[in-house]
Amino acid sequence: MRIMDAVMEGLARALDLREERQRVLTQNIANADTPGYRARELDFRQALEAAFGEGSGTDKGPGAPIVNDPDGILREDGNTVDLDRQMVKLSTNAGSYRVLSRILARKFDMVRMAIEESRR
Amino acid sequence: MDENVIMAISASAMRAQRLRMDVIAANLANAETTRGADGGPYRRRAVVFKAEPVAATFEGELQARLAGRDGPLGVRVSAVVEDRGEPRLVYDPGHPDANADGYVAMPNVNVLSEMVDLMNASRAFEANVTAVNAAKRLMEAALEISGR
Repeated sequence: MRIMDAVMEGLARALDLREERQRVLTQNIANADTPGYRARELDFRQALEAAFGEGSGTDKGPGAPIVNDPDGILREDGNTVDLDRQMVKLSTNAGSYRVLSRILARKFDMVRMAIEESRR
Repeated sequence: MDENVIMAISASAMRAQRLRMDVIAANLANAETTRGADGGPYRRRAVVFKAEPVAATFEGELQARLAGRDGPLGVRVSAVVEDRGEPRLVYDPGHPDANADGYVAMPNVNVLSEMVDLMNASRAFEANVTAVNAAKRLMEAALEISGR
């Protein structure tokens, strides 16, 4: 019997990806004024295809690859960071992280409940 | 990957933006200075930003390379350069630094564009503060998983 079921492992992996994306978005915001800097983004689609391609849902394959942000707009200094768009992405990403962590916490509550109820 | 790296990225950017604001403040303060360090009128200064790997620990670097991706990039002021633009000539024969024709070489500082630059720097600084707060909320959410 495993404490972490497939759903929980999937949630943990999703949290890892959200955190990685937060890092990438923070990096974009930090470099909003750096000449020649290209905005980055995680390629979730490619990660999803890779995960399904390998057949097993719980397989901890490679994370999402980091690519140049396809929504970037090239400025004359060679920078492609759109600060407003990055801020929106940052807050929605943090929101997704919160949602995922809440769900994972509920799953742990259920495990704890199962352990405690058996003692009665 | 951990939140400390996120914090370090934002911190590097805040440091860089603050230095940029310092340079702008110096430009504004010296907008009328006709005797700079080299004798001539003050010359406008500008910062050069450069993306730079942040918190480059061996482990972090190794992980990034193994995963085939670039490590986290912060930002650094790589240089403070002088604007080589021509000084503004203002007709003021009574000025002690006026030339034979009565013109004074004033600094090549445009107060208006410096103010716009200052606003941009301050806005960029605030964006990074927001990113730090977002990272803090992520940490709190992570703590709540095991909480209670």
